[in-house]
Amino acid sequence: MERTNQPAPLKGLRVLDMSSGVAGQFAARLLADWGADVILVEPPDGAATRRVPLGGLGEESGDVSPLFFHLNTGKRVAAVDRAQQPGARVVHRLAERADVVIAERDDEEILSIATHSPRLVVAVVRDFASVGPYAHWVGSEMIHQALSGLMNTTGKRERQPLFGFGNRAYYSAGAATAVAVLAAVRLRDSTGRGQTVDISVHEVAASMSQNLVTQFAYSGANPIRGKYVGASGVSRVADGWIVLFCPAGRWPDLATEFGLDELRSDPRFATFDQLVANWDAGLAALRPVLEAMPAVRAVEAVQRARCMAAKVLTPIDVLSSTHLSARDYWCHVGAGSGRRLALGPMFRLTSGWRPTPEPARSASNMDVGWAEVGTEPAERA
Amino acid sequence: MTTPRPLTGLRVLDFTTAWAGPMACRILAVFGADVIKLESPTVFDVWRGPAHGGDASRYPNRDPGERPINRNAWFNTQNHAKRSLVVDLKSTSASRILDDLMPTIDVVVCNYGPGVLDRLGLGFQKLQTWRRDIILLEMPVAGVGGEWSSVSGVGPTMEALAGMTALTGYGDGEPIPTGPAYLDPVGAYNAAFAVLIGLRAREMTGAAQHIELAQQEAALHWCGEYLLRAASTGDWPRPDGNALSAYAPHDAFPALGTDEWVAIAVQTDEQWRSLCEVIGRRELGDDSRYALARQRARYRDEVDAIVRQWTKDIDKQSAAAQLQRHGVPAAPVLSAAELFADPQLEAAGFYIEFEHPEAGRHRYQGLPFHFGSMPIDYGRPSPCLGEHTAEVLAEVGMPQDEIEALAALGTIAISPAAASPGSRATRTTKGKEQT
Repeated sequence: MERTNQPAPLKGLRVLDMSSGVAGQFAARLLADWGADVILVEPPDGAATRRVPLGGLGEESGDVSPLFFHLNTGKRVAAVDRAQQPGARVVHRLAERADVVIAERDDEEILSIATHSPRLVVAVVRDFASVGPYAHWVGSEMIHQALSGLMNTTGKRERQPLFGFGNRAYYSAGAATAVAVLAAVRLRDSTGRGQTVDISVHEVAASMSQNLVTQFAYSGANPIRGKYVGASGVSRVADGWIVLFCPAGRWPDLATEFGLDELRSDPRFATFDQLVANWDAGLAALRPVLEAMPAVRAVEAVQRARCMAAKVLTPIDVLSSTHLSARDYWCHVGAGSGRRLALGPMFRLTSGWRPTPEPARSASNMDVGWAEVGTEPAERA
Repeated sequence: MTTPRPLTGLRVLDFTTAWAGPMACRILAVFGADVIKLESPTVFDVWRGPAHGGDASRYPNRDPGERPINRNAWFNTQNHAKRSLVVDLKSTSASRILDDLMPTIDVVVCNYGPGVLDRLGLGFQKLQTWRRDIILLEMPVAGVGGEWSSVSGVGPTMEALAGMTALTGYGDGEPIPTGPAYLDPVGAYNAAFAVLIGLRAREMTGAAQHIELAQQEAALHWCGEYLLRAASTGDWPRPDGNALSAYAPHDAFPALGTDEWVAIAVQTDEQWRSLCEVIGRRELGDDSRYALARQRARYRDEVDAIVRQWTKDIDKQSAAAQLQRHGVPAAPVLSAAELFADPQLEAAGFYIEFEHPEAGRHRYQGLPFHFGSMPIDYGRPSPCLGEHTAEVLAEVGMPQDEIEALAALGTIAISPAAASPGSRATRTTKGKEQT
């Protein structure tokens, strides 16, 4: 195919990933997806993401955690003891020859390398900015979502606020870090000078709240949870749940689609503001009809009224989606008994290069092309 | 000379609506791109709101004013540093304008529904006739190829398709959508990344680049470990409020006041012992029943009751600060009012302030980028509708008399007042939007 002749967009970009958590490792994985040469340097006992329990569940012993596998697909990994030689020397050499270093704290050694390697871009992603009253706070997913405004607006009015799941603030910070790194590399390519890039998970999470800061500044609005800011909500259907969204002007057609013509001109739903205000009643009227329909038909009916709907997909639903398989989304990486499923790239260059993820592979005891990684890999439980 | 910035010299056509697309282009703008927001004189970015005003909480002092579309807090948050060019793409003279404008454009970003660009004569093939090495980023819900190819969506429905909604809930089986339309800002960061990759690809090959960012597929990465776990074991951890089965206490606890909460996320046994000290129950730190995480998780109700007994009489900020001082992850659950005046965001330089010509002076939320030798320049406040039409068309070489003639015909709008919002303006765009 034509695209196989094209070079990877990040071909030749050397990235040293010194991070131990989700944000830094995800940023480096995104760069690896698009062809960067990424080496993850782990401490001798392995990066923390090897051991983070999923949703609080412990991992099967001896297995690579799905989190570590997901975050490090496409990288080479090396366990290095920086406290001793030759480990310290190896890291020094790798950093000197890298284009980008991704770290999670101010690493004196890396920063000193940057002073005599002016082309180096050093990205430091941490929980909180190093100035301010939370500078020394300990972060976690729930902590960041509590501070971001997301948590206060997620959940039911009469119950406690919910943070969600997993590591969403950290993934988002990883994506923001990848953006900042590419911007800094681009500037370096024109000026010849790299620089440091500072990202805090806390600020990334705050940048994703629904205009809460500005809206409060404009009008003093202080939204509470249990009520979406538009006409949107969840309903049970015969085989699961759907999310429904009714844009302005579409309520009459939606009512008709569900055989509720009498609601077309109901004064409670006459204007969009009224529809939003009375949305619970509107959705309650649709529910008996929705609950008798399978999701696929409910979604079709909603779309005929030019509203939006989607089935609430569980992980198993996602994995068995015929749409995603028709799109050739999933990748299988590795070989033999080590063959595993991986997620496809985040986007596609439709006539250009397409990533083909590979599992993380060991770089210990080898010449990685920029420097020799000459330490023994430590045993890991 | 001004500080060079990463995208200085690049021109981006922002053909987007609502949040994901506009925020992506805002990022490109603060990185130095000249972002031109292409708008219609009659059908607006949905975040400009209805022509005659909508939800009062989005306007300064709850007053929509004379031109509500220029005073909407939501639009005005996501469109800093851009210029507004208003052209009626369906008019017969639109092609004249595009012939002048499009050869100057490096990147087009579109988050309208599948097929909209082609219907307007702005599809990838056509764009290449104006600019051989154009970069086009489209942001469909699900992408071309499967049965959802033509599906339209908004943040809450895309989140459901991305597996997120099913992973949130109180443990009774009912999925709970994320409060904010979370897929939108996720899509914004992903889209900015995709454009930067597209620029690299263009520089390496000299070829035009068509980027398809299916927002569902991109956001699946945010659930990556859950999907891979389900693929290998057939199962995944079900949502159970804020509880995580290996940790306790891990929840939002009621604090002093009404609907005030402090989030406490104890992850290690050491943090538990520190928490016991802070709440004046040192003896519990030595109690073998609670010493290890899996035991605390087993006695979660008892552990939570102990913590609640302490939090209920304390201000959430003070509770969090005391715990954090002893290394225990804790935070107040912040409302919008508190997010507006967060001392850490203040210290980090996250807030910005703009004097907007029609909305007045206000604080805005910024972006999380801090560069060592390049101060972030947020540029001008979000543009009024058509504010830069004449300026942009003059730059691409259109004579003044022609600009005036097109304005008289209604093909372009050269000032906010010249836009003629009719009843259609309260509707969303014909082709359905991805927000």
